[in-house]
Amino acid sequence: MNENKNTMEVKSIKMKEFRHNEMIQKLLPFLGLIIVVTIFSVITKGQAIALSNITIVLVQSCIYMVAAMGVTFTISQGNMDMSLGGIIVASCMAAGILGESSPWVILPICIIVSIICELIVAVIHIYLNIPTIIGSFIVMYLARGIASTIMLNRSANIVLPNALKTLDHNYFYCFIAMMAIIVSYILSEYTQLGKINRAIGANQSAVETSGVPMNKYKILAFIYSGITLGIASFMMFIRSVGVTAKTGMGFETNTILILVIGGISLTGGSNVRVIKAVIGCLLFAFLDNALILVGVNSTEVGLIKGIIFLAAVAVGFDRKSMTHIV
Amino acid sequence: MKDEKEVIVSVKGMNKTFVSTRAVVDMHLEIRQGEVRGLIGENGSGKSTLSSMIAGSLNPDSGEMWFLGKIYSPKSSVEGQNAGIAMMIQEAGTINGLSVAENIFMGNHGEVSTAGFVSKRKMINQSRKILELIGATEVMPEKIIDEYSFEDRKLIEIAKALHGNPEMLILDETTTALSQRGRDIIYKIIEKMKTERKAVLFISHDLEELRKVCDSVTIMRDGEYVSTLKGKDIRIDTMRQLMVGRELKEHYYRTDQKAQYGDEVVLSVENVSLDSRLQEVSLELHKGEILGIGGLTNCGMHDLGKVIYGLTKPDSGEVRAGKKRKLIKHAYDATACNMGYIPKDREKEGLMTTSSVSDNIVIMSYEKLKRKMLISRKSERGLVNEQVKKLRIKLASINQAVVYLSGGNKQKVVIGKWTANDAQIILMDCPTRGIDIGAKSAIYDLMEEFKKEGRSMIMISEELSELIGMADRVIIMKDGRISATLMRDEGLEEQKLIKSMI
Repeated sequence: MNENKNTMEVKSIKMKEFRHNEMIQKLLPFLGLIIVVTIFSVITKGQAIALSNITIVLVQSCIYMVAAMGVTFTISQGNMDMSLGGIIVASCMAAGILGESSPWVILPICIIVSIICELIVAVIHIYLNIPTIIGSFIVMYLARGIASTIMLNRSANIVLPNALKTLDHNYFYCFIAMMAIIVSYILSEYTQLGKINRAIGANQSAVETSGVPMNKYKILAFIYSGITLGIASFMMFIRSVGVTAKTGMGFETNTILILVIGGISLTGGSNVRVIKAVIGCLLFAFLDNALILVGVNSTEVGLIKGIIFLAAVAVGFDRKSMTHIV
Repeated sequence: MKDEKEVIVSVKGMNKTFVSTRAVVDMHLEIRQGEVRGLIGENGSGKSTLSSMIAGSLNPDSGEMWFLGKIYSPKSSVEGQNAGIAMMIQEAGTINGLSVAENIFMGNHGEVSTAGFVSKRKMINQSRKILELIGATEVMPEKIIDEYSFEDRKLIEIAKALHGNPEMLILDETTTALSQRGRDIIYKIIEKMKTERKAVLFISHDLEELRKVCDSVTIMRDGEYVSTLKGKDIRIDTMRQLMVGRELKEHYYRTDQKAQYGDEVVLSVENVSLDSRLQEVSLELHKGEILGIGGLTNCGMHDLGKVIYGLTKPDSGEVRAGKKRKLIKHAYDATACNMGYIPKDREKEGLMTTSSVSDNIVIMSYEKLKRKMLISRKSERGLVNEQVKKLRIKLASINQAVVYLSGGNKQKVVIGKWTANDAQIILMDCPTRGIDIGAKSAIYDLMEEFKKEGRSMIMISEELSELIGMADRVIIMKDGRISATLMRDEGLEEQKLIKSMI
């Protein structure tokens, strides 16, 4: 009897500890956000959390927010997507050129081009059996290469049609970002797409062996990522009023940084949640903004981002230290 | 007498705690020259922890060990090996991409090198000698290790372990994954160690094997020493009882001796061939039938399982299932026919171990649960709780990660995935592999329940006793062909089955 009670006790302690750890993992991104906001509020004597500044931060985060929502679905399979920046410049360029006559095709074209590019990544991954990190690099270079070649050979700059300039408003960006968050949250938490994608990231061969049509879900995830990226390109086009060869440069690495500081594991699986990407986005935008407020030189921003990356990974990275011999 | 046989290893007051689990508590043990000591206990009872501490790969929190009369406190498995204790673990311990000889001499190039240069020829010759010594003559030392099966690699590992001429050999469930041939080689090595007055610590779940091989058996429960049985006292029922700590119920397998099943054919395999692994295999599964498939590891039965479930495409022949006799081309055709598959490698192919129990159980049931595209938390929870109750899965919460469950409960989660989706045909590849007696018995009970509910099962197994104990009909395979079909009511006997296997 006594012995039995003893093991029960041991088990319950083990469970408590496990829950404790899980709680910390879950709360860490929130804590990070609070800590960073507090530190910078003190340094900038409240300037960082002034209402006007918060608005700027929110608006700044919107484009990344929309793109990161789609990327959450591909990263939950453990598929890293490094093509984002290239796709953005290609879709903005295509939309800009074709939209010169009629501005109403701009949004659809952004979305279609993005979907096609993301599908290429998926097809390279599934049918050539190549990891997406490589396939997406290829697509990024191809897309950026094609876009800059075409732009170089055109005499006129690609500019935003006047009809769309009225959209450049804080509410517009925030509204789209909110919509993206809501739709992605529902898809991720309440549909097969989100659930099976996480399962693929957790153990692809178990999903395949069970008889789930896995490739279907992989392709769907890339299509969804294409849709959100297309919308993000549209927003980018409006916000920067034109397209240059440098549009979207570094977008993919920033997005990865956003996911990591949000506490998302890049190998995918059950810890990938939309809410974490949202927090990562806010934290990233706040940092970007606060560093400027503090007066950090733009050349030093990269260095500081690197340090933050390191800190985020050191504290929050899911090391899967779960296997031990008993 | 006692003084004559010197103590090789002695363990006193050993303790080891992981996080807050007390894995080994105040353990003591003494192994003498020429002794083959069995070590048993349910999963999580601390056997592996204890043996890892003896081998040096884990450090104890407290307690002391003596080896050949001297205090022994290895800091790593290398120190343990140098002292003379070699350990074979359950998982693979060879390195892919290297040749067999390179694997055998890994980390121990001293005797095959001159002035720092390793002589490949010497290494290969030495390796051949060692392999011959253990009886694995068909393994070529110059070949890349990837070409060999899991079983051969195990033998290569043994060659590596024995090469250092250890005073003591620890075998941690090494035989679990091996066929009869591999097991025989290991038994021979044990016998040899014994005659050389060396010691063996043998961990296994197979009680019959322990009874045959060991001089004495120590039983552990919840990290503590329970008892040591010697000689004639080593009886299977006593061992079982001591391991579980209470009287096990009388029956373990099915009690009836009749082959009972419906006439309706729910699954048929017709003339399936797959390169050299399967040749013209045909079989039929009936409603409510437990069809056992047995044979040696490489007889093709595991491949047959994969072909039936649509995971491997056969070169010719076809598999049809269900009332409409639907052709199975992919695994998703199989699930559409209400089939379920329990893979041999539970952790790799059956589970998402870092995900929650709930996520694992519902994965195949989303179609069923969704209402207008959406799946509610409540319906998911309901379905999962239903399975947990039906299968009697022991857990703290359905949101807990599967990795924290015991082997038996993990297997129940895999089964739960299929009962949740109401699978009527369940294909089980080694359903009780590496799980303890209590859990095994629970799985056999479930199989009986499923049978009563009219579900059909194919049980592929390397354990003859469970085929005999559970199946209505047993098919024995040999070299990719069906070599015999035996009915339960004709009296299934081990000898008859073995005859058709080899």
